[in-house]
Amino acid sequence: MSALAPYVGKVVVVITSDGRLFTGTLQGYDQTTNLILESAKERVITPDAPTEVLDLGLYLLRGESVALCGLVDDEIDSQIDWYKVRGLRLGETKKLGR
Amino acid sequence: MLFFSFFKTLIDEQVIVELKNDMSIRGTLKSVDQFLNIKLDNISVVDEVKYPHLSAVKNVFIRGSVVRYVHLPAAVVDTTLLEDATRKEAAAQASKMGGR
Repeated sequence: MSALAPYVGKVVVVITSDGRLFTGTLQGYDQTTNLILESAKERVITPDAPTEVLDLGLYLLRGESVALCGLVDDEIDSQIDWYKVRGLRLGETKKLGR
Repeated sequence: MLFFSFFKTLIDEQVIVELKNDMSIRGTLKSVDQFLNIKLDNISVVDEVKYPHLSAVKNVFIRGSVVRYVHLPAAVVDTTLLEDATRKEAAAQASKMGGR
């Protein structure tokens, strides 16, 4: 079973189906990919403005809305100045209206 | 279960997963499950300039439901084996339905 067990307790980056980016410490998960993130933050990355960070605290994300969960490499992450990062707005996984 | 078994034979191969949000991620297939959730190691996002979001990430878990395509090297796929397995599966499904 492709489990998220190795990621528990570690800092992860989650991309949601509506194109948002979250980061936090993965505290728990289940087979439907519901996730519990501690010290969750949303990073709003846009092509023309500095990255906004929103502090959210303890979050539960419903599995349906999770697209991807990535393990953060602390070495690399500490070398990135997220404030300066620019990028495209992430797309949605479902076309609107469906 | 057929595609689950098929993907298991591709573990340790390099693949590109194209997601429904149009992002494509290249990486080594390390794990797959019954929902066709995919774990990739050592990833690089195709078009990293557009999508710097995963710059600090090396390993990802991708939910099966958001995968549009899994691009594979043709060399690693035994199409004859796949065709046979598909025919067997289709036959099994047909007899399962007919029995009701």
